[in-house]
Amino acid sequence: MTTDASEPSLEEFYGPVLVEFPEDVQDLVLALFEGKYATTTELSDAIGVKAAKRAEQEDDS
Amino acid sequence: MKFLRLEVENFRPYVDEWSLDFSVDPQRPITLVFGKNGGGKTSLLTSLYWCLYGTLDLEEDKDKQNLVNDHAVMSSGTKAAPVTARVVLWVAKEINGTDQLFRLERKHLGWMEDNVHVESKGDFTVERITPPPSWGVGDPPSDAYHHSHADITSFTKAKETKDQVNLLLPKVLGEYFFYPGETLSFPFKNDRDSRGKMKTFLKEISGQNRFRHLIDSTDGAKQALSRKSDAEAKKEVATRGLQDQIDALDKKLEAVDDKLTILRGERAGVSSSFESVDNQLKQYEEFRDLIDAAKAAADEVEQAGAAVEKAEADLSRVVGSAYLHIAGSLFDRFVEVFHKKPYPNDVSEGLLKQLETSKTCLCGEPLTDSQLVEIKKGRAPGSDAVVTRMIQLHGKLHELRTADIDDVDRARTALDTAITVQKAKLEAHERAEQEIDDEGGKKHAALDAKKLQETRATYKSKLNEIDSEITNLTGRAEALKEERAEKEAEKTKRAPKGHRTVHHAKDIAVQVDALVEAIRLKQASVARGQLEQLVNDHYVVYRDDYRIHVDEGNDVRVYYADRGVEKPLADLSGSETALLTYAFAAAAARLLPQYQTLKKLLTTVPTFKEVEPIPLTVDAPFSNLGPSYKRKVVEILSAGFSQAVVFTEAVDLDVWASEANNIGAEYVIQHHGQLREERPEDKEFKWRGTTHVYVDDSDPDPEAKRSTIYKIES
Repeated sequence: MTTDASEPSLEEFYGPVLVEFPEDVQDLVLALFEGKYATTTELSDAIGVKAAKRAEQEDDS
Repeated sequence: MKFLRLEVENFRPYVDEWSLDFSVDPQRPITLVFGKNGGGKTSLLTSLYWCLYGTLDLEEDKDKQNLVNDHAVMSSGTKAAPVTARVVLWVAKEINGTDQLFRLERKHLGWMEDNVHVESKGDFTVERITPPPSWGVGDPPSDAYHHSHADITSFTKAKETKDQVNLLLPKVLGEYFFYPGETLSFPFKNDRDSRGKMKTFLKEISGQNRFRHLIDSTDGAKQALSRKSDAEAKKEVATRGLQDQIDALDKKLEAVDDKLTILRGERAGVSSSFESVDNQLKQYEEFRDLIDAAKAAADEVEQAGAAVEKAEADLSRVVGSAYLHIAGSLFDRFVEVFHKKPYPNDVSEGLLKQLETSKTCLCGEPLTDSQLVEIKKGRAPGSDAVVTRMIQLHGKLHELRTADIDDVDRARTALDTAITVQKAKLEAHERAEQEIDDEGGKKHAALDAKKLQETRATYKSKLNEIDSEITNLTGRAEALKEERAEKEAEKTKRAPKGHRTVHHAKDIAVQVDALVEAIRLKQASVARGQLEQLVNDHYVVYRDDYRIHVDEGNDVRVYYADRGVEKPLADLSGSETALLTYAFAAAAARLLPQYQTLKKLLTTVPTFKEVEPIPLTVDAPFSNLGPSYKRKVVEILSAGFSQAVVFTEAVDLDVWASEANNIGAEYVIQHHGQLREERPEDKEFKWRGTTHVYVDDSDPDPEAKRSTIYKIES
């Protein structure tokens, strides 16, 4: 199976699930797929870092 | 991914070091290994699998098998200096656009202790080589390995080696690409176990199992952060009241959800009863149509019968006319003789008698009694009443004579037509009656339509009732959720920064969880669709009118393409199942890289590019298939996989000879020692004009098994 022009794009394939989520959430899921977080705690910590950033941004604005 | 070279030493029947180079030519991807039953074919297949994964999962009595050659262990193995069984596998795989070379070496040790053959695990090493630019797949791998510019990384720790093997072919999928032939049911038999295994395979290839740990992980994080956020909220004075309100709302929501669940269950029950009654009614109505049709057909038969009768009457009338027409000339003569003079009494007497007997005049019309009396009256000598009558008749005859004799033909044709029509109507009626029988009409005739309609109406109103209640409750749930969201927002606004962070974290965790689940569902459905398409477009032609479909539960369904009717999988023959499995494996081999590059789901790469098929290793691929199926299997092997490594017996030589243009390398296993079931016809075979001796019977030690591998040069 080789790539050709008739092959549908990712969005055609997978629908709009990707665009409905904020970028930092997508980053987290990508890292999760890559096996970056081996345990729930590691994942929770990573989420905590993102959350702190969001809180900071809120304060700035 | 391609296998390049296999080296075995002291492994099972192989003493000393033997090697085999796999064909890497994309046009001729099949590597054939001939060998007699028990000669070492399956051991080579096992050695490939064992080298990758370190287990003998493919074999039945895996715990009872020796890995180190018994002959070698008995002659020289001691605890201090054990015999080493060694399998080296060279593999090439394109990673990020460049060919990477992998050298996998797995060892096992064997020695004699108190006259018992003992074994233990040896080392496993994976070396990853970035070859010099001058090297290409197809060149001897050792050239790249020993080249001064080769970049070699060595892995020996269990986790590292496992990661490297998973890059090539994850074990969880690997087992589906090594078919050890008839010893295991998958994929050659059409039994429950094999179908179950197919289902697991589809589940795996559609990526569903791959998400299990991700989902566990995201779900765990979601719940932990949610608990933490709630606990934080309770601790703070500013938000405690709000949190209590949120908790109360949650309880209400939960109650509404519970009720909704119950209602939905109830609805499913009522809906199924409604559908059942509705179906019965539909069948009844269909049957009623049939009855109406039969009745109409009976009416038509009756009409056709009347038409036939009329045509018959018409025919007899015109035949009568024709008869008189012919008889006319005779009467002309008669009248000519008698009408001008008294005629003899005996003639009068004879005519009268005839009239009395038939009560019919000669023109065929009936005579009334009074007419007869009239005629008798005129019987006196000299009276010419009879002659008068005959003159009248003559007038009638003259009239008739002008009628066309062709009327007879027309009437006959009309009768024929009427009879044909009647026959057709009778047949139609018979068919209509038969249809009623076929449709089980008698059974449905017993149904009480009125009662069914009443029951249906009851169920319908019950359904409407439940639906309206569900709508109400759903609305209530939405309102509760809205209220809850408002309280949450207020709580976040009032909460100190620490708690807000936890709250955000919970929110992110929920989103991560939802995204992973959404991707999982999409991935599964896309993979299923692609598998279906690949199988239907490229591989399944075992019967042209079959199409396959994989449903959400990963059950394979087979349909007659033209009718859309399902054929139960259990009705497929063993051969069809075998082809189906090959077809799925071939399609899956092409989907595998996609399975391995899921991260693309989250990137902007518009199309899947890294699509590289993988090899299939199979023992006795034909296992009881018919000739056309065998050719179909070769076609799938050569087109569906990056390579096919086939272990086969000499009995299939005719097939391989006719498919020689797909074959890139052939080897023969020569066996030394006693084999079970000596078969003279297997002793030698002809291949590309050269005769190879198949069994060497000059072995000094018939009990010990030893095998050697020789390349057959074309």
